[in-house]
Amino acid sequence: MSWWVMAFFLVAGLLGMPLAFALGAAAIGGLWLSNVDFNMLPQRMMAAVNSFPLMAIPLFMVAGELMIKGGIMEQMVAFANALVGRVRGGLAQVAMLSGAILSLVSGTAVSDAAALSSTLGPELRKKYGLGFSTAVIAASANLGPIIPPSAAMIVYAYLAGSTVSIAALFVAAAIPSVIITAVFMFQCWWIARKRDYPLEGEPFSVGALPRET
Amino acid sequence: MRAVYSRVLDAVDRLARWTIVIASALMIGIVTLQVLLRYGFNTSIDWSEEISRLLFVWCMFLAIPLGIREGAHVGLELLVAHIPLPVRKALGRACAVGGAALMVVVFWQAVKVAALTWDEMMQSVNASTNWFMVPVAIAAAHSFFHFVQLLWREPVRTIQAIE
Repeated sequence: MSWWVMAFFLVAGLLGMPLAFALGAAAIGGLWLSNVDFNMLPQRMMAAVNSFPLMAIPLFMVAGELMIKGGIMEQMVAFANALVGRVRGGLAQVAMLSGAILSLVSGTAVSDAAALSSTLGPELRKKYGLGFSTAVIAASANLGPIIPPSAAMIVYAYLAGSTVSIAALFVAAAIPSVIITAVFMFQCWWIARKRDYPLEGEPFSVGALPRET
Repeated sequence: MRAVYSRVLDAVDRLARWTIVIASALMIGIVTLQVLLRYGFNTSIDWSEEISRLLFVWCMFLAIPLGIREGAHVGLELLVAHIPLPVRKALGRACAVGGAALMVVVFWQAVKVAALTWDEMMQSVNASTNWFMVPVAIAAAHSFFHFVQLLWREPVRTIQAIE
């Protein structure tokens, strides 16, 4: 019976039905096959959303939106530029570092991608072409769910129940997120070196950092 | 007829959007106030958690039909993107019919559950727990009308992409 439900979900999903509705339709099939009352459906739907920890997600989004509208993005990019702008592939490095800093306040990849592509996208595209610039934005935005606070970790901890603490997940992600950011930046440097992207930006100066923050 | 249907649905969408804005603002306000009171004044509002959760549930469910209108719900395009346009459109309509049928079931069951358990009260305020179930029914009904509209109109984002 479970195979039928899963097969229905996969077929409906592959045929273009939005996944949430494909899941719902498959669930109805499962309830019908197992003679369970359909009134489970709205109750489970409501219970899945009725959670205090999940409220952190829209609140993160509001915080991120406020910061972006308040002009923090430009300052953040200037700060990242002062730090790593002179490294080879400087703008890609700036995008990576900005993505990492933005992830410290946002927690979702989509909002990071929107903020980074509107701020750095056109300039990246002009310097490195569509392929590399898209890859850089996508990679840096995906630091969002890895670097704490992360919406994905909140959802995971919520689904796992009381055995997993959100705070413990955030602490556990701290070192891996630094490593991933460093590896991404190294990869940008490596590609920039291989493709011989020019060395641009102001040389690093400690004095410039406070001015940019 | 279709123009009138779309106009009425647009008006309902605007209402839903403003309800979401107000509910979100209230939710953020209540949570912020609670944090301020708890950490700044060592006191708290006992209904803040339940009411902010209620507002969150309303926001989430009322946004579902707006997602259908926009074409914002996550789906797989791996296969669909490689099939001819007429077949793709036919599949889109079939999915819309499936979605509409699902919404009818959800709406009917949500109304049944709400009617059966209307006497159950929330813990912190004197109101029925079924205020949590009401947005499920509203979202299902509203989504049904959007799925019906998809039978002749593409989602907003698809129209924008074509333009």
